[in-house]
Amino acid sequence: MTVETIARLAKVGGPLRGVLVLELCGDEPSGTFGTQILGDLGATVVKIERPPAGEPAPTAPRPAGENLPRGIAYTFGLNRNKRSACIDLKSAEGCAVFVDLARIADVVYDNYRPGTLDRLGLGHERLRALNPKLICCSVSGFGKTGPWSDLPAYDATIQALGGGMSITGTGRPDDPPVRWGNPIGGIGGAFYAVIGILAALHRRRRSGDGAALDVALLDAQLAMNAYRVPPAMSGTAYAPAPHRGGSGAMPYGPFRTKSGWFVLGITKQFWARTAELLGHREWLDDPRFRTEADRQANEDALNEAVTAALQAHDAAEWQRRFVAAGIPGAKMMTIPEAFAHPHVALRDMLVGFGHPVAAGVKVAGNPIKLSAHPFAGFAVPPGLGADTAAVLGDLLGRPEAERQALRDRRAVWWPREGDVFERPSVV
Amino acid sequence: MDEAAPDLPLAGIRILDLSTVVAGPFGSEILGHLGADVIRIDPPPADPPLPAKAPGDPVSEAEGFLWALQRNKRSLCVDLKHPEGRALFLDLVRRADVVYDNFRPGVLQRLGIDYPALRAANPRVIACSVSGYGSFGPWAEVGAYDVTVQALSGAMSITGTGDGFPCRWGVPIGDIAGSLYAAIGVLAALEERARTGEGQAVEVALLDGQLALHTYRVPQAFGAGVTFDAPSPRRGGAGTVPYGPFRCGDGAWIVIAVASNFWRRFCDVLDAAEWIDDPRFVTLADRQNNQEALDRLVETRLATRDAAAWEAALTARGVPVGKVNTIREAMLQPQAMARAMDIALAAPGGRTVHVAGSPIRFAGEPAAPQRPPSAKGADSGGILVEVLGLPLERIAALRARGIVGEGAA
Repeated sequence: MTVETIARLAKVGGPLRGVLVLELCGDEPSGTFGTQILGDLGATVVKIERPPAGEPAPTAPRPAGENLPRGIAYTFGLNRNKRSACIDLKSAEGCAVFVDLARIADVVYDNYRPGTLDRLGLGHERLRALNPKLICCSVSGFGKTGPWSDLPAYDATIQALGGGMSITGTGRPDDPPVRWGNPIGGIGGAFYAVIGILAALHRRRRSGDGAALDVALLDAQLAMNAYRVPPAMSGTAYAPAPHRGGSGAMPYGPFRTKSGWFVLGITKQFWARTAELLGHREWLDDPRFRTEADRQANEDALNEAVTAALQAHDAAEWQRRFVAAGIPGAKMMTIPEAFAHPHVALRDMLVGFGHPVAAGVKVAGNPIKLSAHPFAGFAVPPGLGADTAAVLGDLLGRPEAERQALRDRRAVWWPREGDVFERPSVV
Repeated sequence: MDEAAPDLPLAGIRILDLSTVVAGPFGSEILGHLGADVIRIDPPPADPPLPAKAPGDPVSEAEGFLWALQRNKRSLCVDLKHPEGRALFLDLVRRADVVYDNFRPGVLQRLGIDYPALRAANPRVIACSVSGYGSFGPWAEVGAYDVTVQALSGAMSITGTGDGFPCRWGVPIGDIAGSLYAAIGVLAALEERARTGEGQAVEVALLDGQLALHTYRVPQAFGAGVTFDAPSPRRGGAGTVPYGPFRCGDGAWIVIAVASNFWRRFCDVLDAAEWIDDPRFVTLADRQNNQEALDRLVETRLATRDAAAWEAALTARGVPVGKVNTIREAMLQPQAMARAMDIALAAPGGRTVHVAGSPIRFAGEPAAPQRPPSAKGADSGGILVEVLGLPLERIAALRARGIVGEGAA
């Protein structure tokens, strides 16, 4: 097996050319988001998926303008630039195929509950015994050690346990704590998994040895509390503070305008220019607002005065004026509005595909811009099992007759007719 | 190397870190934890050594930033605006692997140390820049703050209680996601350099980082016709009900996420077996259609016991639940303690400062050591001797002229 053969199976070019990643993940971002980052960077990422029941019909092409089903759209957001091989890990033959892939792989990334891979006979110890260079990475809710290691986790429960929800919300006394709208509980773990994998690849060039990573989503949430941890552990209490910046900056946070919300982040050095821009130079001499301490002491009056002043225009007009004045403030955007920002097109942050099923579908771009790799487009996510034959043939050298026999016995599967984007278990 | 010392993955990698506040240092701290030699480049003058504090003294906000984001790094004070300071810096670049900054676009060019200048000094160097909106385009020079990036990205529009008031995540995810992508970009570029011998420039914009975290919502918005209206705190992504924050008897909150496979067990733990066969709640669709009634019942029942008691009872039956912990409670919960996420570091004067450990765990390997932060300029002399082999007289002369700042170690 040469690196070139692996690299030829990558969907896009990039710095991780020739790195073979086997993905054993459900739908959740704690897995698929991490492997997608590796795929965006040029790794050959193969999703190992369960063969479907029967022979599902190919997904019909959609006329332009017709909506994709929500579940298929979900997989598009997390699986571009990957390949898919359907292998039944519960069958002895399927398991043997996977073991052969693990012998030549660089990374096996899973987000199953701890113990699941062991039950399949595919635990880290066995895989690393077969291939000492292998980097195994497991991402789970609570990690493989500790009293909660067997418990299931959801993004919302992880966000609660990690502390982030206790500092997120409206600040009104009886309102509930708020989770971040995006599933950072899962995504946070995926980021740390990718960093650990890449660091282990670096070491492997020196030592020749792989590694076994055990990433817990809860640990990632705790780490992201960052600079609040030392004060919190020495007695500082943190609560949601929607109208106060980290350093006590004020005015701060969301304010209603004539139409739409505008979000301010006015640190001391911008106060004078902000008062002027809002048409209230007299605030600079107002004893309630002169210093940041004054503004903090008169928070309600300040927020009322700022809200009244912001009624003069809508959020888009305030955006124009704040940018022109170089003062930190931002219109609160919806997601479609956010992708209309002028930088999005310049920076390839909204990317479409040329595929009959996916005409008009767009995904977020890769935020890592590399000078050696100008953006050259994304590959559409693979249909279920679309690359099974290529993976078995090109990577393992299994002849066609053998592949066919394995398919006949349902140890592996690929579609005969065309791409199948419906997957059995999509969130 | 000591035999018991771990073989840290990034041992031998030298990073010159020009970044400040959160969006840069959060990422370089991770690389330092993985074994890279991270040298902060600070402007002179040097600071006095970290002050000695008594064991009971509280840790201030400013100290929180220092201990959480600047540990495992050394500090060199050098004046990049002085030609000799810049020359010294470029000498360091010749012996470095990575230069990492979060200046506004244009600053490095004005200092004469933008990527072309760095590449001329060392073609193997990887130059990573983190900025609000990237290095070009109409907003390149606009200042970005975590809160404005969270607003612009659309994330605040899907975060809140559902009554229209947009919330930012209390954790500065705008800055943090940018830092995480930057760390990944640096490592990927190192991997490529190992093959090709060439460095490259890596650029990460905080806005791009936030947009990317919308993952599946992007094709749902652009292709599936989904509009994301006010956030629904009491309904899970897959339509799960009951879901979200509920107040318990002691006023504290727990978060539940009762997917269909946990419904019966959940009812059992709440001593509400009658809900299982209640025609309003049998299937997920039933529970969705009668969500208001169900939420009221769950609220009433959960108000009968404390949050900690419900958390214990539900976890005992394997039902997903999380108490809404404060940051301190989060660090001290048994699972976090078992994973040694709370790390106590000795600070001058006998005080102990607690920080969160690294979530990157290599099974079967000893944990990486943690070094307290350096005061600004504390390591200047040592670095100039060790990395550049400068004679002490020359360092003294640079110090006397204010080009290098050196604090007491």
